[in-house]
Amino acid sequence: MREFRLQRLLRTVRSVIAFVQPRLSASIKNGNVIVEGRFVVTPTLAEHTSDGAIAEFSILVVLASSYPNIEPRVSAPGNNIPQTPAHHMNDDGSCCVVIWEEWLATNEDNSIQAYFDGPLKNYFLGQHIKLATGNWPFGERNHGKEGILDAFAEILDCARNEKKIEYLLRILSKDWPRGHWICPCKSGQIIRKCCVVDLKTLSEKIPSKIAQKMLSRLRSYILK
Amino acid sequence: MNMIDDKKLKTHEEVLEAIAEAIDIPEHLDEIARKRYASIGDWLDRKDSSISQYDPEISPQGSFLLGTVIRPLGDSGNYDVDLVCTLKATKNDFTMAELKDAVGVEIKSYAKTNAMKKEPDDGRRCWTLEYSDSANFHMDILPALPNADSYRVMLESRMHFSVVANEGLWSKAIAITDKTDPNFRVRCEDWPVSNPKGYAVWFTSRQGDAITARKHTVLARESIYASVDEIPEYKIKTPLQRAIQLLKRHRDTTFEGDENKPISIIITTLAAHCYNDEATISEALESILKGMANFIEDRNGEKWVANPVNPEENFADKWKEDQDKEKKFYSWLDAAQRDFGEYLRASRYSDIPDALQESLTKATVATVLPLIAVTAPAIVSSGVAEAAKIASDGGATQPWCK
Repeated sequence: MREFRLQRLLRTVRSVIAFVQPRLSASIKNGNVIVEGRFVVTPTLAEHTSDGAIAEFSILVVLASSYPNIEPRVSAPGNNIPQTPAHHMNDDGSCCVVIWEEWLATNEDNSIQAYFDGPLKNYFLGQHIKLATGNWPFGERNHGKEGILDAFAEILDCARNEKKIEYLLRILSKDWPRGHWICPCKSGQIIRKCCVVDLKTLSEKIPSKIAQKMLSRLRSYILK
Repeated sequence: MNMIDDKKLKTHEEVLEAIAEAIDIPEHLDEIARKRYASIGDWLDRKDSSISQYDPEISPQGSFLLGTVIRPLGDSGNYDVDLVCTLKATKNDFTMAELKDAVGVEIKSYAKTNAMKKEPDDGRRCWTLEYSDSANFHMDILPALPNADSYRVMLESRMHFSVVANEGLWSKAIAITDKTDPNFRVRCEDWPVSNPKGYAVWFTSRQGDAITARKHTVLARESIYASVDEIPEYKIKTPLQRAIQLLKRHRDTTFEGDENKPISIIITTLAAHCYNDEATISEALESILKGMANFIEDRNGEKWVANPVNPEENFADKWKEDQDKEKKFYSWLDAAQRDFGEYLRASRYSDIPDALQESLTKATVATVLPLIAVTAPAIVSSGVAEAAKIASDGGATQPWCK
């Protein structure tokens, strides 16, 4: 079954990079799909398409067969990107492309195509502009837990309070309804008699599986 | 900027159009080909012709009909012009052998009257006239009879009702001769069938509004036409036709002289399936090269590229017998994706990558290079503009650090 998923993922990846990423190749290595070569950042504005690539970076992307459940691991060896947090490079050489759970929660399309056209392209376009101008074109998240709290508070549309975010994520992680839990608005009432409508709406926006991932990410920092 | 600069090529699209034009059959040779097959038609239909009572009609098929002819590789190459000679007769009037001979008599007398050096060649299905003058043509003439009714019945019996519903797709079907057919000398109803005109109707339909759009462009550019209706279709080329010409040339150089190379009808059919009214060659190439493999069916383990006007016919039937043909198709597709992608997605319009130059032939590309404008790239500004577009489209994402 895993082998079948892996082969299917490989076909998908190859069809995504065919033509549009002519310098990348995909293969299966050590139970993952590996995409390697030079990633080309291409303009899409008609007035710039004939200018050719905006930039290109040597990359290595490791995709697990269970994508998108497991975040792709991206590294960019052999480029002129400084290996520093300012350039959103982790100590282990991996690239911090995006807060994975944030992207999953805020985008309906989590396909490989969407990942390559979205976060991956944005990250390397950002690197190019950062190198040229010193600024990230789309802004940047704070590092570590602070960035996680900022992002999750935005997604949950709540105060940037660690405990509140964690409690909300616990609620959303369960199969709905959990009406007998204490309402996160601190009214002291149970959810069923308080913010049930708002929480129902939120749970439709953030499926339990994604809420579980967000909770797990947050807890990995709380436990540190 | 002066007038000369204005005429220089400044986009990938203009460069591809110029290369496609350079590999297209030159207009004067196209005219000669058309005059020559019209002349054969006149000969077969002349008063003294032994088959004049059957109103013989000569019409093109294949790439001449579809507008996807390309120049042969090398200076000594020949253009293969595929023609159909249809007699208004029935299968009661002729056996395949009799039809082949009846047409052959007139083709031979045509060759003799026109002092052609070589006798027409009696091939498996066609008569071949070889012209050995400045315009090197091989004219393959396929004797045929109208076969619409049998063809429609065949489609209905196999439940291909979507084809039957469009009369243009079946009403010009023909019965053809084949020396290797066991019924070659038997008077019977069971003849090999073909449908080049039906295929052309389908191919035209796949081009949507592109034909009319191109005619309007020609009308605006050339004052010799008073309206789009006056412009013959063979005088214009749509993005689909141009893309197919480029792909065929890429195929030819990839497999020069290799009999197992992907055949034109497979490339043409898959390309036409993928084409989705793209307004430019670049966009058409992207759609075609990204989508081509998805239109190859798997029918019980056998790869199928169905004839759109006869779904029972598999253009890829030889792949089963010789897997090298299938392997070569996919290796060519990989190479074409890489070579055209490398130019269109990773290079400036003025930097045609070596691999693409090789695959479209350096000699051809050399004729276009002097026409390309040299301008300075705007790398940082294009990056900033791209970021602004992504942000305004709501696609921005932010990096982070663990």
